[in-house]
Amino acid sequence: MWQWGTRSRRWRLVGAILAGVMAWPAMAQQATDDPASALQCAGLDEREAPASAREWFTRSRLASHCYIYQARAVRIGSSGVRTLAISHDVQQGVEQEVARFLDGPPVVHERRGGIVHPGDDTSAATALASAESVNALYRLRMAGDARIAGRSARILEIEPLDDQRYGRRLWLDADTMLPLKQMLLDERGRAIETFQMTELRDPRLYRGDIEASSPQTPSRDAAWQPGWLPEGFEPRAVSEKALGVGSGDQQLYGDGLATLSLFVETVAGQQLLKPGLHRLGVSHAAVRHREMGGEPRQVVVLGEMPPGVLQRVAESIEWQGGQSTAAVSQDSRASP
Amino acid sequence: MSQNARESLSALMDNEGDELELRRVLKSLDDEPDAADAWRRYHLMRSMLRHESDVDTSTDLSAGVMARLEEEPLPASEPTPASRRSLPLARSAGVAAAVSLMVITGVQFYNGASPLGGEEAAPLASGDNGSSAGSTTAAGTATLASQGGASGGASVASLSAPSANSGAVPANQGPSLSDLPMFQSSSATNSGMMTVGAEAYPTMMPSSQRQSLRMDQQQARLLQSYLDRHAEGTASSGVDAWMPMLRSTGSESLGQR
Repeated sequence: MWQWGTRSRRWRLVGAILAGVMAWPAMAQQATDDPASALQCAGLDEREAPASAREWFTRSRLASHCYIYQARAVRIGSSGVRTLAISHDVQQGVEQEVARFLDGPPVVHERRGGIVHPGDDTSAATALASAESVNALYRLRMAGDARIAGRSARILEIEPLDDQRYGRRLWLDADTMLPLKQMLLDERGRAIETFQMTELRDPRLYRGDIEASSPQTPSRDAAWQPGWLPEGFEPRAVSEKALGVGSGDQQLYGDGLATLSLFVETVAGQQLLKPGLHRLGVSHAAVRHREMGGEPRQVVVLGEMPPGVLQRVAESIEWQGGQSTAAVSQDSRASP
Repeated sequence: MSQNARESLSALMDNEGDELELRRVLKSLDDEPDAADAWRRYHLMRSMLRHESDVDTSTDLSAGVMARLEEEPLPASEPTPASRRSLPLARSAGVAAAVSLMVITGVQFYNGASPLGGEEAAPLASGDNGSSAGSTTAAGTATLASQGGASGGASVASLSAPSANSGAVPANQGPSLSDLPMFQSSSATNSGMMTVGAEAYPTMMPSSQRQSLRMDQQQARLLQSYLDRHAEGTASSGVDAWMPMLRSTGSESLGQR
């Protein structure tokens, strides 16, 4: 089974890093030994400047949790330019994020608890671990200086080592390490989406701990599994809120940067997407209709990924519970 | 002009081409005598799609295409003199809309619905001559979707397959009308060529075409709901902080909560 193989590889990787290379062994050690421990923000601003590109990357992840700030930003994509007001706050160890569109329909996004969702896989420990797993799949390098939102920034290039994921270019604030700008680059290296702050107001470090919960392995007894995933993709927990939205069954996988969602639903009594490949902004969706477990079902694989990868994942779904297991797994073995 | 060169030309016209595609198109200009014609036709079609008024529609369309259109019998209902005068333009706009759709499909790997597609089609549906263009686009989309198969690549391939109509069209005309999706639609009651003429009259526009436009929007909304759930999961996995959430509503107000 692929998931056990990759998981053990990942933990070996993390283990090796924790043993030697990790910049702050104390904190990482604690996070691993006691998964329910908190993300410690105090002292983040007193550390020495990062020496390597991957240290910049990990520090910027920490910073985006630990700093309290308000910002104005623009999002540039295929659908045009949108302007936003963003705020990130931490109160009593709980993160709170608000993103408000300043043009178009008055849409507001609020997230409470943010990264460290109770019962979620994505605790501080995994946030750091996934930052390290990125090193195995992408080449990270610093690519000079720039000026963004009136602040000096360092450019971090994140280039995939294969053609199964998109690259990124990050502009990190030289002072706080907060990401000021991010570009998503497609498999040909073209920018397909840009987020950029135009003003970063009063970034302050939260000097307490941010609540973290124990990493919870997503349930592996689901009736279906992807038979193939791009290298390095690990299961992520789907938050209960997201599960409550739809009646369907959702699984989430990520490689530390890119994320893809899988939905397998019965087709009865609901609207269907046309089979094939759909594009919505920078996201692609591969849709298949197939009989699985004696019932016609709709498979949707969605993500900001090269479309061919999504299609391959969609074709590899294996049904494991139900009557016609044998026939289905035989079928999916035939396709690469 | 090869299919590749045609797609490259389309990409360039949509400002999505790269240097490789530019070279391919320029090379086809040298190698193939009909490439310049195809080039001119594509640009003319785009001009008409954008309602650019200073385009001479009567002379630039290739003579063969116009002759074929003129040969077709008019629909049974007798048009008023006014609509007869606008007929060539309306027909051309219909052709242009269909071509434009094919172009978008080939390049953008697009095989279903997106808000972008919906918005692009909607403005075409307003205005006198534009209404036929809009409906034709919708019909084209429906045809594409039904022929699409498993991937965008498949839909492109099916477009270039010659249909029964192509026998009448001289081979040296470059991209022939039979390549266009609407001429491959077997659901239309008339022959392929008739469909264009018939659709030039708004009164005769089948409601099924408006329906397919609505269906595209419905598909886009459905897709957006999946994207919202994906964005929710992505955001909680903590990789890009607030950025995935913006994606869920970034293009549309549909994800409003």
